[in-house]
Amino acid sequence: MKKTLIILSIAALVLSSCLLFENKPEAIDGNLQINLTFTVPSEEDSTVEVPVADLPVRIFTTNYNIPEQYDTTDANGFVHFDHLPYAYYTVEAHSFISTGEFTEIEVVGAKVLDLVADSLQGENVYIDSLSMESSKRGLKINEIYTSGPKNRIYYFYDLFLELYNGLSETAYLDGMVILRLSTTKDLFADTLAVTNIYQFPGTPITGRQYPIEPGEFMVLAGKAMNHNAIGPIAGLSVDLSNANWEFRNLIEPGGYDNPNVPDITTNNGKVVQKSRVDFLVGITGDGIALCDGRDYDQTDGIDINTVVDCVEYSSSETHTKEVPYSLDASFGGIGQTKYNGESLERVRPGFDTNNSRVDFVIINAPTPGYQHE
Amino acid sequence: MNKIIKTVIIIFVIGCSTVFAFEDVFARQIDFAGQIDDPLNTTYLTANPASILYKENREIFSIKTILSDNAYKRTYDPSSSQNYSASFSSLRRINDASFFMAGISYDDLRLKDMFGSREKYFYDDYFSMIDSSTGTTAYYGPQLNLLYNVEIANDLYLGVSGNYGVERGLKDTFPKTITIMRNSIYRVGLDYRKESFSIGVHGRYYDDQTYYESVKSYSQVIAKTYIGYNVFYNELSASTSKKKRTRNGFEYGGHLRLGGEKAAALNVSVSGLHRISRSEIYTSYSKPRGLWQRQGIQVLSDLTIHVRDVVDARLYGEYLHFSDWGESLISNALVIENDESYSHAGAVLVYEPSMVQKAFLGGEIGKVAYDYKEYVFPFEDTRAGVEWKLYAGAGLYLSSKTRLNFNLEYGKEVPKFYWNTEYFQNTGVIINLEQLFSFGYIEVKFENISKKPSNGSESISIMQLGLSYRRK
Repeated sequence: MKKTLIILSIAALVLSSCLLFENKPEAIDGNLQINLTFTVPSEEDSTVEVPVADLPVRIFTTNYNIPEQYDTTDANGFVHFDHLPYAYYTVEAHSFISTGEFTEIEVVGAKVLDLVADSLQGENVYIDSLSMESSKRGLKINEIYTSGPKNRIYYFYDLFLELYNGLSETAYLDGMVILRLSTTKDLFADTLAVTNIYQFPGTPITGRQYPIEPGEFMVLAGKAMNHNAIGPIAGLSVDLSNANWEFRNLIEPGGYDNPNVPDITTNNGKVVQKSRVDFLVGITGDGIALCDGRDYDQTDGIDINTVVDCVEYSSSETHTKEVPYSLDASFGGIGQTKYNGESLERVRPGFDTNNSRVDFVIINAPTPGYQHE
Repeated sequence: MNKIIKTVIIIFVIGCSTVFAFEDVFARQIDFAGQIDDPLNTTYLTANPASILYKENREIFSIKTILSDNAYKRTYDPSSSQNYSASFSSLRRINDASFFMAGISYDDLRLKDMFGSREKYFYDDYFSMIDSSTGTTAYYGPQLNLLYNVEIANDLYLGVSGNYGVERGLKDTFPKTITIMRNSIYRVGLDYRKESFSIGVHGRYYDDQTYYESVKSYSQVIAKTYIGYNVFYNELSASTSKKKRTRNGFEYGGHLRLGGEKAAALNVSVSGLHRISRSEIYTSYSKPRGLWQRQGIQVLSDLTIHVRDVVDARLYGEYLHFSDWGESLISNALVIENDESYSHAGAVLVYEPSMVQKAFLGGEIGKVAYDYKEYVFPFEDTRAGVEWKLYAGAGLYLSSKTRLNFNLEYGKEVPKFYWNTEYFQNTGVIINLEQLFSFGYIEVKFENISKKPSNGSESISIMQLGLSYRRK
């Protein structure tokens, strides 16, 4: 009995030592190399790509607290980064290219690189090329503030959207509609599924009553009031009493209305929605579209060709896309936290590559009516 | 030293080893300088349950308080801590050849003003996690330990021991962080023991399970997982953030004693050490974050020579070497390598003119070497240095019921890089006063350690105040 006990004990020790331990991995993190070539369509023949020299390129990841890297392309449009860990990266390049003695165009090249170990299958060199394109200038949803100020009372009613006119001409908001999107099952669909719909006053396309000048910001407030006057969040929120527009559901019982701020309305006799509450969107995840208003009957979906701008955002990296790729190739806002005063804004006013993960950045405080520094 | 006191000391040593059982150590840390009053036998060097000597039934009850103030600290250390513990042990001889011991203890540890750290000991792991909180964490829970020792043949002893502890921690912040730790240790050993020599083998297996959960209160939990000590991975903020750490370790070794108490005694032990630690977080599904593995060897030796009737000379040495590697389970690649070694040798002269007076003078010197690398964002720290310590002290009975011990230490310590200094100059004062009452012994312990970093004039001051009681 005693001998058996000894033998069993020793056997258990030896066996457990074999089962417990792992082999040291051969791959070493931090050795990733990224080789990128930046090109731009030739002016003579747009089907031919020519390299972009002396282009400043920025690469960064939000996965780790490691510094951003910068480098400049050589004469062949080639740039090299090394000693990087496996991660998701955003590559961004922005420049002005002279097209004549007195003209230049703004071009951007941006891409999200999925360079985790699984996607690279053990390789540590990534090679890619990016075709620069002109930044899409136009009327844009420039900022989305929905996550609430720093508070412990679940307050997020200080939400607002910000529009920016990147055009060189005045744009008109007459009859345009703002959509809160629901999940579009077909990401290549030609109509948008809608949860809520609000409309600017005026006649779509032809109306000229509600202009937005070139370079102008406009704030569309959920509730156009001074939220900083509310005790528990005093000094933590924003003053929207001077917003340019206010959302208002005309069938909301006892709904707040600032008489000094014009309304973007729903259930107004033209656009209709079931919800009786005021304008609300997802705190850290949703899809929002600005459409020209030609199609405002959401019962059969909104025609995708009427979309002026569309943004999808989600705090979750594993979020399943809900907005068609043609409107937004990805989604922004990854890592945004609730009730922390964070906002989502384009990296530069009106910066748009149709890829919200690249176009937007999380900022620590909302900036209604102006761009963050 | 009479048998009763010797027995009490042996049990006390066993009890002390269980106080820290929630985080079982990779290698036993032997404080040779602090063991002047105690026998440096194989039990102390190896914790082999087969080596324990015991002849009588005994019950021991003790309570203890340790307060420490970390005026100088690393980023994720608490500013101060309070530890209250109580324990009860009972030993029973079953027959002439065997005995059994059972003990239970309860600890309450408060770590105050922990900045961000979700871990009890942030620097004890390569994949520690922080969140967006600063506050005080209270850890509390019971532990149970059992020991069985039997003479299975003439002079051949088998010992088996086990320790099981459950601990719960709660951080008084938003988000609230709850920690549940479960720890178990199993030891087995054989000791062939004669008066003039003994030889034996021992093994240890331990399993630590730590579960963390941060629950949002009004705001989301913003958690980060460190990969090493410089780079962290940004976890997605969520309403609830959970983490699980599993740590398994294994030790095996042998010991040899030559000589006895009357002339000279040499004790040598050699242990091989292995440990693996895994970390994973949970949202809606498990996300492994990292594993790291450590293996090493520890050699301990002690030579006690009875130079004269009233003078003992003790020579001792320790060699510990281990190496680590860490794998990120986010990238499935090597992210950390570490290599450390400690070599220390020391000598002490103990002058004991009578049973009630004792004085000692000693010193030790050693070399430490660290070679630490992180790969995610390249970082390397390689350093080596010489550590030394001089110490002296005395113990005397002020009366038939009052005993006073004091110990003075002065030395140099080479810390790891995250202490942000090349070395510390340490000064220590330890005073113990023990009084025998009709109901038992009460001991008051005061310890003050001053650490002066090489990079500035500000000194670190650590103070401990202990109060313990044990029944006669």
